[in-house]
Amino acid sequence: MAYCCQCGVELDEHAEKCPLCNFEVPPALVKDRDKNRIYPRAVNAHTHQTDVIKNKILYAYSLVSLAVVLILLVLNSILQPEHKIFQYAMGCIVASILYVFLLLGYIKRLTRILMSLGLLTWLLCMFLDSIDGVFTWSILWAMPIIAVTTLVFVIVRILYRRGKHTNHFIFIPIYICLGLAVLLPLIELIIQYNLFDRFKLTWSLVSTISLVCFSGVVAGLYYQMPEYIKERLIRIFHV
Amino acid sequence: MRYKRKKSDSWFKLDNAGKLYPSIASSRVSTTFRITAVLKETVHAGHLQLALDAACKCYPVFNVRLRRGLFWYYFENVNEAPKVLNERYFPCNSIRLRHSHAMPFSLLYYKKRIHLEMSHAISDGAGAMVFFKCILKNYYRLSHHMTPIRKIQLVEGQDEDAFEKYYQPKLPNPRKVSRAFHFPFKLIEKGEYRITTGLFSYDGLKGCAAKYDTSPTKFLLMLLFETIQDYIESSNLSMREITPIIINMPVDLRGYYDSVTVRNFFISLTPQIDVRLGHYTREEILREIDHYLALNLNTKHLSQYIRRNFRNELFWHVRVIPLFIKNAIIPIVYNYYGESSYTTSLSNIGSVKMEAPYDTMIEHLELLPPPSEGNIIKATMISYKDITALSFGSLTEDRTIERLFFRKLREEGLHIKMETNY
Repeated sequence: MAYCCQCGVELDEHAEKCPLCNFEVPPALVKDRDKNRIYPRAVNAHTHQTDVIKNKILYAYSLVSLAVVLILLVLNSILQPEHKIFQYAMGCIVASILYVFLLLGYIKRLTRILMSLGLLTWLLCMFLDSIDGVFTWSILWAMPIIAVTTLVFVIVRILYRRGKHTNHFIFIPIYICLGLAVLLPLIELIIQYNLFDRFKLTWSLVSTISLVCFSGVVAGLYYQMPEYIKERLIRIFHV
Repeated sequence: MRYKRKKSDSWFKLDNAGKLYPSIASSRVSTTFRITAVLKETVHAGHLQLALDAACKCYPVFNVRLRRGLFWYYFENVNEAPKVLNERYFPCNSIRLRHSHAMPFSLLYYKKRIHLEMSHAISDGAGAMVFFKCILKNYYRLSHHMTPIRKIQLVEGQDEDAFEKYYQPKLPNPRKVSRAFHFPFKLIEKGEYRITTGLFSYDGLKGCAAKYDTSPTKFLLMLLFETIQDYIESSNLSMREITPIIINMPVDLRGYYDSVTVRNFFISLTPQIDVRLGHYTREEILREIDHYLALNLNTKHLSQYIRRNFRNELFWHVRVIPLFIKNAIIPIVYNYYGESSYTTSLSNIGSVKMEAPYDTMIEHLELLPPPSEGNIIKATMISYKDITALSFGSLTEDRTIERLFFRKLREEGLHIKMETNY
């Protein structure tokens, strides 16, 4: 019979440390843990069930996709069309299996998933661009846009994690809006540079200001306005 | 095993409290509580199955499956009792209410323990205890080569919706509760549930309470308030993060109204202290609790709570919303109005008695609260003979609240034995 000398409570015969303060019980006092357990080694019902559903979805989707790819291959060999429609379709279908794999969360950590999605999208764009034999848009357009988008969302994710917010319903939309507010001007800069060889912001400024205002209003409502701002607003806008 | 669809002409509506639970059920909010009987001998699975079969014959109100209607869930009676299962999952996680044809309870066993996991969709702690006692009695009889009780004289009103019976439409609403303080602890993985149980003497507890000239429940409530107050004072929380400490205290209404229903019949009272006003001494906390309960624990005020809860389901615009939309909306509404208005809960099922000779089989009883994402730490309490089991169910790894609470209890001179599932 072991006692915790910090909490003063009696511990289970198999307890290796006090559950309240983690004070370690001398090994000689600990009885066979597996034999004396009062609860079994628990299986996580949620993880188990989620894994089963995820596997089913991936399996069914892969099976259907592969069947479609086979049909396209057969059609391609029979029809032998001049255009490359079947190659485009097959590339997209194979990539979609990988997208489903990533979106179902088989890879742990959201930052890794985001980076994998970015990489996969870029590879898909390269593949689609290479079908006609020349790399054009994938280098100038797709690569910078995908790189910037991935980078912005990875940074947003890291910042959100560091923020340790408890109310996800409020803060996930706020962070997404702020991420878009940063991303859209960057995308417009890439477009402007590729089309007109200059850096000028137009429509993205409107969207950025709107998104920042929306985030500010939501956060303000959540945190409630500080008294001095309330007072100043009343002073300025009183009727 | 897949449930075989059988035509049944027997069905009934969920009661007022029960209507909420299937809609809010998720992997972190199972809405399932657990009553455990720790026996003196290892459990015999065969006898337990027969005991359950017999108990389901005695209480057909529990032998049901949850079905989806177009607007509401409903219960459909079935003939076969569910199979007893060896405990495998984390506590209070064996029932998947949102799955089709879900049973509202499951009976588990592990070594010397029998667990009844019951969803709040069908019954509360007091109702489940009636059913559990029947199972235990039958188990005892089978273990001692006696015939099980297959039929009991059903008391009229045992399966009634008591909320409907005692609903008074013309009462005013009770006062709204403010937003409560919530623990800023990180959640553990979905599907996991941490249990910390302290076992101590019931007479010892009564002695401790007597020192403060109060009841055991009020005494423990006071310690829980003080524990949370100590936590807030010791952590560097900004004034904006501190809101009143509100503890949800479920009240069994059977003691106040003439009802013997085994379905849900409880409401939640919410005593509180506002730590922004300054430090509360034990005497001050007790005074707050005493005054609050003296004001609210009477049929006049309890009827107000019944009326507030029940009238929501009478609105025609609520009734005609299809179930799948209700399932999407109700969790948000519940989170905003229900979970956010209390910090934690302390549920006391009281001192449970079993008649002789059945009482000799049981060493002690335990009660576990349902996990909840909005209130990540909850406490329950049950007493049997001289053993009181106080359990904390937690969705966080942080043990600060449990540590502070049990140390306080220990300082009062109680000998405490700890049991955990981690």
